[in-house]
Amino acid sequence: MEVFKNYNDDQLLLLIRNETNIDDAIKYLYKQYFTGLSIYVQQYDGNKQDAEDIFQETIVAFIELVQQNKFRGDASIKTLLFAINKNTWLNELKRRSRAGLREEKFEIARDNIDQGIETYIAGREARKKVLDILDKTGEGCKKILLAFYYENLSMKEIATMTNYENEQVLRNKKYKCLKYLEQLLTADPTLAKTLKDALQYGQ
Amino acid sequence: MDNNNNKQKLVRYIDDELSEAEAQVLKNELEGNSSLQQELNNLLLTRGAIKNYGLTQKVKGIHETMMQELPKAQLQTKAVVRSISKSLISIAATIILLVGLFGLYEYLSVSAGKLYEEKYFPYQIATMRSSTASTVIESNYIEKKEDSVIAEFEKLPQPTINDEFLTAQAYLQKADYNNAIKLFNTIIQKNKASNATGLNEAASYYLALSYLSNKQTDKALPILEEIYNDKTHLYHNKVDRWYLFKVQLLNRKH
Repeated sequence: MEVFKNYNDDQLLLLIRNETNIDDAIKYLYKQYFTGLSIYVQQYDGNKQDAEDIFQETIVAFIELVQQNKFRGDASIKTLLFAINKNTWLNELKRRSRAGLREEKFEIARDNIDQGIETYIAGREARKKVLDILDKTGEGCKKILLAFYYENLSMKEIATMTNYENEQVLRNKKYKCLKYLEQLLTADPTLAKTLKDALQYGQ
Repeated sequence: MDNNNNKQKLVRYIDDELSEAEAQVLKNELEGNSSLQQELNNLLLTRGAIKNYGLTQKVKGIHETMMQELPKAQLQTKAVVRSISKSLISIAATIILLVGLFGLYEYLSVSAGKLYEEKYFPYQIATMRSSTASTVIESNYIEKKEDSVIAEFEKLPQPTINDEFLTAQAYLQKADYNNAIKLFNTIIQKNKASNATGLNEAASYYLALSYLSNKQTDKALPILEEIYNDKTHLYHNKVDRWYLFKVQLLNRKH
């Protein structure tokens, strides 16, 4: 069994902001908070799979908020994670059941968290839509875009990894992939607007 | 700049590949060109979505690993909690079952005779007054001659409360509950009329027992409740909550 490292809140935030060893940070978050947060979902109409899905979304949301400096450490990491987990699950329940009375119940139960964080959580549908679109761009595009924009690899490294003849061919391919995605957003201003809110850009 | 060049430049801009001079020219152009600005925004959004996708995939991968790793340590905790919960539920269910069975047993086994036997004790004259008998009725009572007590009582033209009380006790010992009830009630009425309290508390206690034995639980119950609620009552310690509960059970049976 893997031996997990322990971090205090400050160390963990530093690890996430620097993106130096994000895997360790994610593993630590699982070790520390998965059980507690999954119990909440399962207590409120969720099953084990729901709990796992919501926890994954919670971790993604938390990391992005930290990396975008939306979390200033006003509360503890634990408090923020519980609030994100709870609000994400309430959003999901709301999506599943649109009955007015239940919605009212969810609104009452919702934790009062920072508006920016709340907007981020509310944008989960838009993010899911974009993930679906990315999935449709094909494995080649996805690999290049992720390697460049998420893994921060150089074009040279990606060229080696993807067996492209040279960097220029790769650069052209990357441009086409990005353009394709950008055009999808241009064609759907509503999606672009929701995604903008969800990803908190241009704020 | 044509559209394709614009986009390429914007991509190089978000990829941080423009020189400072090129970036400055583009920034100036962006200020007066809202459609170009919109394109840039969409490219930034796209980049954000890709990063989000990457992170989501990473978390998904780690999630699979952690689901293999965590259950060994943490899901055991859950299992222990679940096991404790189950044990507590079992204990609670057993207790409820036992209480239920006990209640059923009490309900089925409670009887007027048992309740009377439980609380009846022969009245000791020495506890009331001096150990020396001062009347014929008293001396007969001490000698446990119930028939003589009753016979002597019937001869008296004006019996005292004391005579009535001892005769009522004699009737009680002979299981003549109707006459005992009659006399105990006479004592209570007389005391009430004369604003006296002589032997009143003893009379009410034995009256309740007489009613119980006579299967008049509905009349015994309020008297016993009064004794239980009155902490200064001479017989307060003889009636507890549990005894009252059993009388109530009996009352329901009747």
